[in-house]
Amino acid sequence: MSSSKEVYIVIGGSGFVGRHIVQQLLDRGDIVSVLDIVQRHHDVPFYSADITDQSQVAAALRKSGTTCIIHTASPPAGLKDEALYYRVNVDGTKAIIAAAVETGIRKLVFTSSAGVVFDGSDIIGADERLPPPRVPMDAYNDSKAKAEAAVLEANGKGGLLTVALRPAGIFGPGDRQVMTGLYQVYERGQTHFQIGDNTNLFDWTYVGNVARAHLLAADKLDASPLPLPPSNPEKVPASLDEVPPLSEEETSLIIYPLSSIDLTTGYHRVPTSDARPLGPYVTPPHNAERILSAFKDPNPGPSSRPVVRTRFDAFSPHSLAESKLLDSSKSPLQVAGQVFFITNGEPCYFWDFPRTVWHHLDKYFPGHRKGRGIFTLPKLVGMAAASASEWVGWLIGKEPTFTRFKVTFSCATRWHNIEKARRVLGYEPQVGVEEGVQKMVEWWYAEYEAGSHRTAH
Amino acid sequence: MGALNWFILLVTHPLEFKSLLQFYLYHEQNRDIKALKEHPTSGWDRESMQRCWAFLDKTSRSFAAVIKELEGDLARTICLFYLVLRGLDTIEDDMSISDQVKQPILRSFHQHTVTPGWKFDGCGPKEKDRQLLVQYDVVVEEVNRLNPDYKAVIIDICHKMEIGMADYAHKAATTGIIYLDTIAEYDLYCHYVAGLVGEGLSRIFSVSKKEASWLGDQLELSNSMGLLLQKTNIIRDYREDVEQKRFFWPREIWGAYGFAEMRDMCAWEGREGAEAEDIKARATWVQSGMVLNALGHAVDALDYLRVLKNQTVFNFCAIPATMALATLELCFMNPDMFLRNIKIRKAEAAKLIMRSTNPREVGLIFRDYARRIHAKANPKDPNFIRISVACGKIEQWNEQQYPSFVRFINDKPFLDPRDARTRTVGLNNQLKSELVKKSRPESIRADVAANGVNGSDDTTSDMLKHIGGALAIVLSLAGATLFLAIRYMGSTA
Repeated sequence: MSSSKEVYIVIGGSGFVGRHIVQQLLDRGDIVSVLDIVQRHHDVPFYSADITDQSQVAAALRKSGTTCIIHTASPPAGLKDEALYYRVNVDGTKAIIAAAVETGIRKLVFTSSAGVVFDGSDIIGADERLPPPRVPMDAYNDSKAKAEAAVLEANGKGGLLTVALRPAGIFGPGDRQVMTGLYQVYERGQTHFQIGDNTNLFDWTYVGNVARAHLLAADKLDASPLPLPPSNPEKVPASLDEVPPLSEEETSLIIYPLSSIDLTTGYHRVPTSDARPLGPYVTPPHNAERILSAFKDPNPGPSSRPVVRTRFDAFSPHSLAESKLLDSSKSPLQVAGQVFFITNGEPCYFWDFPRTVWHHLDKYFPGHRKGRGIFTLPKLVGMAAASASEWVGWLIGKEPTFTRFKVTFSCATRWHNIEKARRVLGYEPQVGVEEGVQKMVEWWYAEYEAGSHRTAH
Repeated sequence: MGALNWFILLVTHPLEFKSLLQFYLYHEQNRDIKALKEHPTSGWDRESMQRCWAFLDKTSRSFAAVIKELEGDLARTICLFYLVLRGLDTIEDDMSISDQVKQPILRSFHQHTVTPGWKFDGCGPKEKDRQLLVQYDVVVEEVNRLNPDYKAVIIDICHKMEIGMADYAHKAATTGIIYLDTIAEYDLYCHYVAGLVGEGLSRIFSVSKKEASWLGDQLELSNSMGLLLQKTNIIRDYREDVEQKRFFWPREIWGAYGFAEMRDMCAWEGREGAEAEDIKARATWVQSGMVLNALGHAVDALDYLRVLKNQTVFNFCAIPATMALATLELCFMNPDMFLRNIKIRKAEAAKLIMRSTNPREVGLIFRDYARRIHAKANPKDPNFIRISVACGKIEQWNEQQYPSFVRFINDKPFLDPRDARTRTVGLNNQLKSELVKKSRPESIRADVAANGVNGSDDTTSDMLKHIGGALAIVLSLAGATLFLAIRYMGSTA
């Protein structure tokens, strides 16, 4: 199936995530072109098209000879023009799907957002079973949720295979949102304010990891479909007892323990009497070679650690059976037609991320910050102050910078479970939060020095 | 404590007074090893074993109480395991014994331990556990009486540990190298002196059949338990160890902050001015690097505790682990640690002993200390974001193993309607009941009974009502808020 070389088109390939995907495809020697409304790089074929126009998209797909679409285009979050979101995200995505079916494209990878499940209340270790809230957070997230639903529904139409990825809190070189906001707070000397008690965990995801997940999803989308256990297609299971047990392939995906993600905290393998360095021995032990090579083995294979699950766990036998009971046509352990949360897998407390960024900025702007103690506002006070700020903004006719949305955002717990991406896509983050922040600030400062920040906006 | 001390505590720390009072009132020893009915397993009827129990009280500051509470013959077995390793450790520690004499004794300690009548009076008079070796023949006698499977584990671990200790002692005596260079070397040293204890304990638990047969094969988790406790002690004992010229902190961690010698980290003592402040700050970053390294074993320790089944084994393992987290929290960002011996307060220890009874509670204790550590973290510390992520891992463990949206009210499970995850369960239940209604109406009851949270029909439907009701309230509130917000937004636009 995938013996002939894939031809990729990245829709929104001039954007933040899109560009990183293009770069990674180029790095591994793939054929890729970009469809966007602005051209920022000139190293790949570029197609300018309005994605809400099916015929324009189809023409670009034909001309480029695309076999796999990676659709990352979206207006940035936080704009006032709600209609724009629905037009680009919902209508645009539907037009892309229609164009893909029309031109016989095989694969579509869609960049959704972890925000589609957020409604302002806490998201604690959510997995992909969590439905979007009935009352959406805002037009951006609502339009992403609707686009995502359209993408998943298109799976199987005219031979098209689709998958949606939901990254959370993307940051890194090329970012024009997180870093800009944090720098403004830094410049205004407001880094000592904290709203809430900072015990809320938050997911941040390095853009390179997000890009990698897209490549993995594209690669795995048409990998031989997971053989479902034999079941009578005429007889839809009506209770958990009638759901056929997991197939051998399904079991093999969930049975092994996942390793801990140690990119930021540092990886040090725990020595044991079966796998350890030899130390300052006088006479080597009889099994010296075996214990040393076992310790040094970069791929020690799945360890014998027990995998302990509760029944609420997405991969517990109970939950898997439940998923199949609700839709017996597919397995949550397959790629096609599924959605995956993508994060760095190392959530940290909300305010720690900006503080790390600001601390890095101190290196470039020594003496800018006075050593002030943290001033903590309880969430309720923050909300009241934000309301006041919004009223003042309304009175004097200026856009307020301190809003209740920002208070809600900074006090909410938001972290997601990425076990599905790790097991099914084989996704593992490559760059940790610490290294990612460093890369982002270095990039940002280089741009700052070159004076390109003002022109970019 | 005398009456006066109690009174002072009541006035100065009323909450601690309460904790300690409750501890003395309600915390009973579960087991009296001297009782007649316990003799077959505790061996109290033999003089040699009585002597061993007395040695345990004398040599172990913290473990004696938890060891004695272990069930059946585990208490006696682990008491002897402890004494064997304590004997070995005493010889290793004794600087008055020359390397030439020490090497052969260390390297055949596992044989001495089963040789009837073997004892050793060559330890220096200052060695506080010298008497244990002088009368080691009672330990030998009791080890030889053990069930052969237990004995085999103890001897095997003793053998492995003595090789490691002898290797390190020989290296120090012959090369003059006093520091552990890398974190890998530090880990290996801790494996020898503590990780192996963890391996041995897990194997003993498996042999006793009080824990799963595979627990003894969980080498990584067992080592992590040992390393968490050992590393915590190594951090806390900085001053004492440095004064006695024992250096366990790896140079990879402290060398990175510009220190040439370990003792330099307390060179700010009694000084003022910018230079002293700088040393103090750098020493604090080293300390934080050490705490971060130890915290790296916390989730493994929780994983280990999670799979234990026997209550007394659980307490035995959990109490030292929660004490370790409390000690890490005490040390973190605490400059006093470089100057003197610091200890968690008695009342805090009493509280931990009372609370460390099940993995869920222990997870919450770990989380509380993680949050307290995090609250003290400093963005200027190069380990700042690493500490945040490490604490986050403990939080994640809690939510994965004991999701907080499942509450218990009067022992009935109740799903928190404000938690997004309840949407998952609620939606699935709703879809399922629709499915059942459509296909086989008569099976509704059976299906609900089979799939409810705790399998009981009444509580399930009760719970669904609760969820439904709560969901309705939440949704209508959200709707009202949204309505107001839209009107408000409309008026501002």
